[in-house]
Amino acid sequence: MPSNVYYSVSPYGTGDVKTGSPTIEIAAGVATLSVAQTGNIGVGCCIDFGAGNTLIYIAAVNSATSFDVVTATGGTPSNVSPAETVNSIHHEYASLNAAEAGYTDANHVNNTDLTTADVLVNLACYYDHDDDTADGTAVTLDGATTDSTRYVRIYTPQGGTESINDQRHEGKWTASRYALDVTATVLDLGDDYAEVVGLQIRCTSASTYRKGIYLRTSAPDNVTIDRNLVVGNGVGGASEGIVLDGSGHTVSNNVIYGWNGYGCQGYYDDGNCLFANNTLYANGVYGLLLDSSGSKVVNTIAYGHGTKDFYGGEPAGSDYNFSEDDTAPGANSIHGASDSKTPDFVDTGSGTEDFHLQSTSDAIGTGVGPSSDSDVPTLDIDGDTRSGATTDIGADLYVAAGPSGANTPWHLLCGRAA
Amino acid sequence: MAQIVLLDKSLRAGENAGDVISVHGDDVELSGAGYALARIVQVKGPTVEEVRAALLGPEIRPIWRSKAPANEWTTEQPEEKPVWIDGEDKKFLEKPPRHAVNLALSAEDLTALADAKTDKAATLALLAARKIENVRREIANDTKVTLATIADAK
Repeated sequence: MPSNVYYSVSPYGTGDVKTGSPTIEIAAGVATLSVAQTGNIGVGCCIDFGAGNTLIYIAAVNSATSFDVVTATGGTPSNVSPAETVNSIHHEYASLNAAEAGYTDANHVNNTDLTTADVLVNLACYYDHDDDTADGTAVTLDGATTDSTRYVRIYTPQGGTESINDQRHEGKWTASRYALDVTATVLDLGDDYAEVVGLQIRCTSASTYRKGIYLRTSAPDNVTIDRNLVVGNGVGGASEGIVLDGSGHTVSNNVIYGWNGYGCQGYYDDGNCLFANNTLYANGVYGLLLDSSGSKVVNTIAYGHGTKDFYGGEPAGSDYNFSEDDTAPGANSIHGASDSKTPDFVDTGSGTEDFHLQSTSDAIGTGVGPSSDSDVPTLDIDGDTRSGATTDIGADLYVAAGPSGANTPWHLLCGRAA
Repeated sequence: MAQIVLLDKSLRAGENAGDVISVHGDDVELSGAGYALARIVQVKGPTVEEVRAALLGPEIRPIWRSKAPANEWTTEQPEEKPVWIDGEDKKFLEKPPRHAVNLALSAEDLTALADAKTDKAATLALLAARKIENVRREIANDTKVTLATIADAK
């Protein structure tokens, strides 16, 4: 089993975010602080303690005073008793690109070959609790040697065992949650097996050829893109939300809108990709463009696009999709205009988009569920659980009311005041 | 008021000391192990957005080559390659750099950038003058391409 290493990112910077003046004791990899922490901290945050400025990293949140901790290389820290003074609790990097540039250095993994280092790198992204500044630097993730268990995972902690406060969007663009908001192509993924989970990704630029997530520079294989918002904001011509190359990718539970060109294109990928439970809305040309063998599209809404909602043939096994025009592939798919059915999103207005389903939506209960198709993801964009033989089409599983369990911070689950 | 994070050493293949990693406001703390191998350049005068704009890399766009003779239809995908824009020229991007731009700054440059009395325009001009587009480091990226036609979107 590889070791997990954790480094946090926040545009707030590396300033101290601890609460009070705690001391720390460590026993068998569990750190106990003398003062409950209420700040914007969690996995990946660095605890600097003692006269020697020892550095350890949070691997899990047990409570406001108890944290599983690891060393920079994923090892178990030495026990500490009696208690020592905590000098600071801070984020490791101020931008995701700095984390990408730095995680292989001598202070961290100290290797670009993650299979040799035998580590899974977790880059946990936090919002700027001070003034909500977004992470404004474009990111290129490449140059690491990876495999199916030792790779780079970029994600937003969701509360619970991951962080004191929820860092993830609420299924729509959400202030006070981590966001990559860039004027250039936002995220260029080049490493095999990379995972991007739960990010808000937005390109704000009138220039042409901007992309949200771009895999064509290095054509990696087996990338996972799950539960992200991929948004074009006033972007120029031929801009695209997600552009794939390579093979074996999983694109699931994403909401993609605002792009001048295609929402998502797999035109140049080598196939064997899975597109499951995505929602693509009113991008300028096509919603989902595919031209690859062996790929599959299931439970995906592409609706209201400039030219066609789906384009590029009917990949084998694709079904239970939803388009406004007649292009959704599969015998059980819905063609909204012809079938007089609508997805009934909460809000499609520019700037207030919310692609959760209303109770009247024809996407509710008309998709195939995970018990009938194991390719259907069991969590939706909000962390709500899909189950059974049928489910909803699109990124959102309709829930009548109330918070979703997976998105609920641990202190709410525990009945503790926030 | 901004801070530029530069690589202080070349760490990985394709990296160079001085490569620009990120730009932040001057209220953002950049310290600790995460920045132990970085160099932080203080820039007085311009905003973060102005500094980011000054340090953008060259524009990159795709071009396409049809596999069918002119005016003939085909089911074959056109071949796509990226080019970068070098003034009036378009050049094949054969070896994309890990980081788009590099700053080669002297001690005098650092002093001028950190001096609040330096005119904002002069500060931005200095950054532009010291900016190296890393795409130019590879001879493989210096091949001009002559375009018969330009398709704006596939």
